[in-house]
Amino acid sequence: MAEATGVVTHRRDPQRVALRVLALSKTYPGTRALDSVELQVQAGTVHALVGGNGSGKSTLIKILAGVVPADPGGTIAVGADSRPAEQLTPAWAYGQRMRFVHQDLGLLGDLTVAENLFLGRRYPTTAGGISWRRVHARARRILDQQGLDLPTTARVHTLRPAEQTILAIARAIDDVDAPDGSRALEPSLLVLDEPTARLPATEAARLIAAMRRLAGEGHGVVFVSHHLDEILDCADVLTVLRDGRHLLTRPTAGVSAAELTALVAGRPTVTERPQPQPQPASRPPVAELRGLTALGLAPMSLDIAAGEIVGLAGLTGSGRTGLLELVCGARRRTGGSVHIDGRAVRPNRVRAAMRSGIAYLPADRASASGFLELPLIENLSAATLREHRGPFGLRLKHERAAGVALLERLDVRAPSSGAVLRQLSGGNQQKVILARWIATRPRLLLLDEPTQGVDVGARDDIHHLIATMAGEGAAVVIVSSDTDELLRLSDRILVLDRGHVTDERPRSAASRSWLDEHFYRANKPRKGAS
Amino acid sequence: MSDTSTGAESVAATARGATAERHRRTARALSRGELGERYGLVALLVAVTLVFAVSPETSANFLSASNIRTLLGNQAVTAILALAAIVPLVAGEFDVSIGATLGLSSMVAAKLMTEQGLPPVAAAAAATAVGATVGAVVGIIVGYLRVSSFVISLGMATLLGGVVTWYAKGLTVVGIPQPVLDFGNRNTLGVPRPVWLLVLTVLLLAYLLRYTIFGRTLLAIGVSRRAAELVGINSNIRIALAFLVSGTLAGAAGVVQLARTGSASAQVGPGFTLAALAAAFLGATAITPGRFNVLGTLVGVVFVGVTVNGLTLMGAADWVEPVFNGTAVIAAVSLSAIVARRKARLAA
Repeated sequence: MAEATGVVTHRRDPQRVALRVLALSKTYPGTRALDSVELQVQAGTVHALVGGNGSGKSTLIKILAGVVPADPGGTIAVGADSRPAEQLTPAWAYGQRMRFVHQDLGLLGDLTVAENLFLGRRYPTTAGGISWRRVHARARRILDQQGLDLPTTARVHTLRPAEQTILAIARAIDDVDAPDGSRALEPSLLVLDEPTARLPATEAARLIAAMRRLAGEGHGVVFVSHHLDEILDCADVLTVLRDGRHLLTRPTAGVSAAELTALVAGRPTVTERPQPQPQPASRPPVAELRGLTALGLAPMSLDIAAGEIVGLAGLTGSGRTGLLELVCGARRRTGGSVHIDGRAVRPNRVRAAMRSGIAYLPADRASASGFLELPLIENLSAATLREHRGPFGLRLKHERAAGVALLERLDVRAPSSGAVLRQLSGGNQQKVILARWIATRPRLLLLDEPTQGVDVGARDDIHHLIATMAGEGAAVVIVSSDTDELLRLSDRILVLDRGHVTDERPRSAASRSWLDEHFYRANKPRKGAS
Repeated sequence: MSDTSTGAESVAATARGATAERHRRTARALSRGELGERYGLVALLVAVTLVFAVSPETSANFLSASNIRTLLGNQAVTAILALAAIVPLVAGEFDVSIGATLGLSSMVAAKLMTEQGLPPVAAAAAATAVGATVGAVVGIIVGYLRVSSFVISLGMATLLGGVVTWYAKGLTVVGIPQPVLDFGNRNTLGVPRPVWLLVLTVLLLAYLLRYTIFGRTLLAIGVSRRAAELVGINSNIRIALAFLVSGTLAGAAGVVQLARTGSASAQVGPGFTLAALAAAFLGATAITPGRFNVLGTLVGVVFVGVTVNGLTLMGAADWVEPVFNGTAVIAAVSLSAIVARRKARLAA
């Protein structure tokens, strides 16, 4: 594609090392995020960086970008220049032509392609004004180089997802500031952090083709992905990180998906669920979802028994959060039904769902569940305010007593019950919000990443609470990216991929390797389970 | 949680007891910084009052009963309007149309009383209803279309300004019936009657914000609309209702203004908006800092009123009031931002 434009004059030197990382360590209070990690990326190759949550991938990338300082002692070399790792700055990284494209692409959807390409850079001017002719000519050249057949005046939100990602990459590697654009042709080290995570399979294929082409033009490409299939499809070399250590680096040729899965997961399975549960089969269903549909979600049917905990596994964008929002009435239902204890739940109304006994704990505490500036008591009573109504309005003492009882029951650590939510640690905040829903005595508890950003102690407490709620007869659905959590709590685990349930196993048959395989291979469209 | 009690659990139970003890002790013991935040504006008000009370230019008149009555009577209108402003502000929305609504309402009441010969009570009710309607229109647009309340209410304010000018035909309406003027200017139990209406409004609003589900939902929406919706709050209608309340109160304030001055003209309304907002923002820095609150707003109104009154007695010209109001808004908002940032840092 690029060859057709006839402007490709890159230095091609297969032996050139684009990036060398030596003895890189990073210590956070209490944890060692990176431990003497080594990494070498050749120019002209796609180098995949693989590892589970907490493996140190993100820390490594943040250090390379100069955003997070490394511990002293390491060395980072890009191109010809090298530096002690702790002295890396964003300016140096940029000067060495290191470029980053994050999952959030940083494009402004309402602006045009050309405007996005020049975002934050100097526009070419004539007589003091912006020369739009030259802006569009330059944008045209960049688009042609990337094989993007788009008008430069197109609004970015009208682009396909893969096109947006390629546009972001094009912007990253292109020095628009250079007057003649000559430096734009110099190869760079490109770091792509989960660029395919939100793309459907066909779009991902297009992006992978673009990555291969960039490598062919002499760029070094570091590629982070959870889709092991993609990695095997597209990377030349792969490096596996585990628990902050460099596990191995090897060519992808000859590696099978199963092998790679084992390498990435490679951890013993977890402890048992904190409280033994009676067999769910012996109980009547509390929640019945029948042919439930919404935008981006295939028809979904699911029965959840009293005391049963159902785990929902799947990557971001698999529809797992959407499903919870749909059941709790926060997302538009296009078809199907939800019954709680045999009674139909009115769609599209959170309050109606709450009255039927549905409680939804969103993942995003800061914006979707916590009232950070409000006192704990008001956070706790937010879903049950009506219970504190008396003949002369709200009974504040009653509300307060109920709140304090909840704080005690969940052992929430707070400076005082008059504190506002923001003053608490993440774990205690999450307990407060969980307590808010416990106060509604839910029949169906929907939990989205219940222990995200929560410390280990609070995580255990929260797991206990969830198990206790189930023990008292509630039906529970847990969405989690944390494989341990799913295996620890769930009676049954469903795998969701792009709106479809692709697999289901009871706890006895579920294993870490089975889940990991799904997490990492879930990138091909499959038929719906229903 | 469990029936069996192990050693570890009893240790946990003891720790839990200690936490509970902490929870029981309410946050009555305030640090010096918190005290300063809470009562800083009150202290400033006292200081300003003292200065005017002793300084030679003003001491003769400032603390006289008649000056205080005039001051309070005049400020009652601003105070009702400031209370109107805090209802949408609590929910995170601006209503900058309150001044214009006040102007429209006072003009409607004046015309109905004089030209149509309606009994004063009926005219007052009709004018208040007009205010309520304006509030409802702004509220429905802002709440259901989720557009910027600042822009919509600013547009409404401009629109109403034009409507009032057209309706008044450029004239000042006078000849207001005596009972109405009596309400505006006589005292009951030594206190100007508009102040009694203010007291009623204060009680109603304090109850509304603290003891009703509606008030608490507005507060929740103001902190996070998304989180409020996910606990089952219909934020669209609540926001619409908040504007309905502010419009109604602004309408009532217009009637009081008419009773107080005995005339209505197209020039009456606009100047009130910023005075009311200044008091509301000053109020958010006092009593319960960071929150718009009824008592703080009252302190804000009195503070602005006393200062402007004192400066006027010292011989300052008309320009003092807008300069002071503008300064108060800028200072209050900047100050609360600084305080909020410091708090966030302390919490982190």
